[in-house]
Amino acid sequence: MMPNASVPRESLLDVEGLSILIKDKRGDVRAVEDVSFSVAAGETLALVGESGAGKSLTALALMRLLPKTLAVEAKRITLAGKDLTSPSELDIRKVRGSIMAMIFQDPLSALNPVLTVERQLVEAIRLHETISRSDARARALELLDMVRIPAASARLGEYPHRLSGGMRQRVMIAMALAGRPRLILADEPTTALDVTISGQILDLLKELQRDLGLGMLFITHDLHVVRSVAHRVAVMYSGRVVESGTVADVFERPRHPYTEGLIQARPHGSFVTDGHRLREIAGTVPVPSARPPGCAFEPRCGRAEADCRQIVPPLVLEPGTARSLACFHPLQQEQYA
Amino acid sequence: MLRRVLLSPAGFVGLFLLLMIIGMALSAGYFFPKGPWALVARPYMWPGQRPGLPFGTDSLGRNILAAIFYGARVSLIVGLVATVCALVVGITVGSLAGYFGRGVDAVLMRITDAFQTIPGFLFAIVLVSILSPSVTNIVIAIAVVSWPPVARLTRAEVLRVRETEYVQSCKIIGMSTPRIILTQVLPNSLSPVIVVAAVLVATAIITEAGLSFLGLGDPNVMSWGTLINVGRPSIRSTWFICVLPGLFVVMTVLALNLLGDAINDALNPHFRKR
Amino acid sequence: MSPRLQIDAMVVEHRTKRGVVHAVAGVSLELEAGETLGLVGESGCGKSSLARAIVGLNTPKSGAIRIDGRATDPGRRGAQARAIQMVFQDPYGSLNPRMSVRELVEEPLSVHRLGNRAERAARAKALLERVGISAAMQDRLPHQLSGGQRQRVGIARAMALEPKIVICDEPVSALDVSVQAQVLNLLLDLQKEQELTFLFISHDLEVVRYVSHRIAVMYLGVIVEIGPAEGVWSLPLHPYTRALMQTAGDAERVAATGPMVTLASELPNPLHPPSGCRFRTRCPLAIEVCARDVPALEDFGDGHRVACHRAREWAGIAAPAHA
Repeated sequence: MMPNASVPRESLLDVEGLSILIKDKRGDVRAVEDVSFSVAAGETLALVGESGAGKSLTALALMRLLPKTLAVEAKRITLAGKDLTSPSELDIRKVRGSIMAMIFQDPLSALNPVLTVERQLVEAIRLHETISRSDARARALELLDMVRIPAASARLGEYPHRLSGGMRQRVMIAMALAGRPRLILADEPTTALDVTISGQILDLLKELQRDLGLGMLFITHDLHVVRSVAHRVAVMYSGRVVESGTVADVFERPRHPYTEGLIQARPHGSFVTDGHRLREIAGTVPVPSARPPGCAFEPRCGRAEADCRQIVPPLVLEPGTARSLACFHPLQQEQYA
Repeated sequence: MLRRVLLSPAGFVGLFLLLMIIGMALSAGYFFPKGPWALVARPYMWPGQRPGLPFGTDSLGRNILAAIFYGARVSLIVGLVATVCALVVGITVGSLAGYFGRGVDAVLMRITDAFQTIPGFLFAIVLVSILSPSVTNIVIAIAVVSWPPVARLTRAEVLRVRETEYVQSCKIIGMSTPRIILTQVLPNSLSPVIVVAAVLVATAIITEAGLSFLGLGDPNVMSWGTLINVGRPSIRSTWFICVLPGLFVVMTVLALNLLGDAINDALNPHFRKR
Repeated sequence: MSPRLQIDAMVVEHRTKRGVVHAVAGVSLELEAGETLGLVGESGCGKSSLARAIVGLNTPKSGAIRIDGRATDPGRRGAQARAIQMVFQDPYGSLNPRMSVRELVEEPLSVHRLGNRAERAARAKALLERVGISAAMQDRLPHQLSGGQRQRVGIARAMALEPKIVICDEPVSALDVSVQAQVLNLLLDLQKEQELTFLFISHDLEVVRYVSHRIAVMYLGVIVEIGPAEGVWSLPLHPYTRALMQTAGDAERVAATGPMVTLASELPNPLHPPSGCRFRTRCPLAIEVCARDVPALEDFGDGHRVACHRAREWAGIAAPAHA
């Protein structure tokens, strides 16, 4: 069920030291701090975290879709060989849709309610290719087929509100594929959908990835979704990546206390049968403007010591593994048989 | 909220101007105990021509500054009372229509439609012509045509608030319908109405000034419109008789609009910069 | 002994411009005191309409609601309020934004004129502290609290009238995972302390399995499966339940107990539900009889009931002892 992570692939997106600052007269607030990750072609990296972690901001920052009050800084961002560290407006527009495309959580607000599906698809297609309207329409039908929408030609004339949630999401995916991108940024695309529909959408995304060799950056808070769709995962907490590695490795042998807490907090088994309480992570996520000086997770961490309070643990690649960890007192490998 | 209104430049200026106008209205009797009708000097004196008459005199020799001070009273009273009446009727109709929906809504909204088709100023002229021209009748006329927009606005907000879970929660805890409307629905529906109220006051003031200008105002009160009317025949020579009260009308309306904008921004957290 | 809550053949209608939708098309349920019945189903299944009808927000077209054997009167909302309360899904919409947290918890007490002002204030304070909102936070407005804290306030408010039955409508779905655990633990603690009866509605199967004594599965207005939580979880009999378990739970576990079910098409038009079994248009296992006869809930032993013409074919697979 879980995608196979061991096949080596070419790197499509490389992000090093990405930070996002909220500009304020009283001092900039660092919503996202020094985040680094990479996505290879044909591979899915999941960005996991709870609200306030900064995962959606990160995706929007890559597409440069953030409002002007937020500043993006990075040491290096490379996409398909192009340097996107400080792109001009023209640079980023050339890349948007044609190399890197995005799908969002709520298809109803991401689709224009007053335009038919055909208009929106054709518009997206002609933005990236100079072809006639009838050729674009043919390609639109192709795209709708690719996303497995039945009776595609009938659907072309519909308005978004007449389609079900699952259909709308498929249309959004079709629009994202219009420019033949190589990397898809998916921001919680299944969170608003029923569980059976979201299962279908995830299967569709996996198929498309296989057939088109797409790289995917998949943002979610749902660990099940990560397990079913991602090869590698990066766990974010309060603006930083705290742990990353292959999904199997990180989920079966979590080393960061937050990752472990997240996995353990999910209900399992039955309270009625064995009366066990759920393991809580006490406290709440700190507001970006009020982060502790050291590790942001320290106030809620059962393993914290003095050094955690004073220094922010850097994200360090463990030698000989594909695992990175930002923790001074992680859970030990020996704890796992 | 007051603090936020004061912090914005529009709010500060608007409030300052309005307080000045109110101050004039309240102190009219103190500064000009003889009243606005007293003949104090010869007619058509220019502003500043004689010390003690900074705004000059009108066609009958009355102190224009005194007239403006007393005129402020009329404008403010008419504006305030007419608006309060319009708000009471409009909010009641709008909230009942919005909360109860269906039949009640249909009937009340058709009544609202009917009143909304009445052209405001013309209706005021007609009413004042049929009945006698008095401040009371002017207030009634203005209130009658001003309440429909209030009703619509209230209804829209009530429709929204009615569906919120906190209102449903109150039904579940067994709260009676009148209590729900008064303590839950109305306080959360009235922000846009407060903003519109500022504009309603301004409109009422202009309507009253217009009526008085046409000679249809209350002949017993000295209003800004009356003064403008008095100055009309001699507007080519002694234009100050028209312009000075006109400026005060403009200033009051401007103050109310600025205040309305500032209140709107203060009540709406989304538009404010942190 | 009468059950704490009994719903008899409830039908809830929605009038739309295009016709009448039976959001709840004949649902009967019984809950014992201190029990949690988990109700699962996707959007359009009618679980919210059912919840709202039980708690008095909707008037059902037909069907009785009995609390401890006595029928409730939809007109007398007050009496019912002391017996049934609700915890909502949205921590951001379920609290009046202009009232302080303390006022929100005092409000139910004041509506029912319980105690004088000082007593109500003291009780509200105690309730809030019980759910983990410290005295320092009690004068804050909802927007100054986090999602988890607001949900706790909602729970305190629901507890203020000491209800016997609480309808929990997706109480943790809008919360972060780490906060979900806190709120679930709180709900279970309160249940034990006060012998509360919960109707726990959620789309999250693992959460439902964790908190429930029994699970009921709803589809397009009817209950298609109901039984002990562990029974339904380990041996889902209705094809719809199996489909849910497959995507949300463990596909391998489902495969071991019978046929796999992949749903292809979408929900049918609720204005014209399919004849016979409502699920047949999406069911890969449908046969001729499914279009003709409406399946009734049949007992497969241990209180595990399923409305499916074919369920007995795989009911024997994992547990041959099943009737």
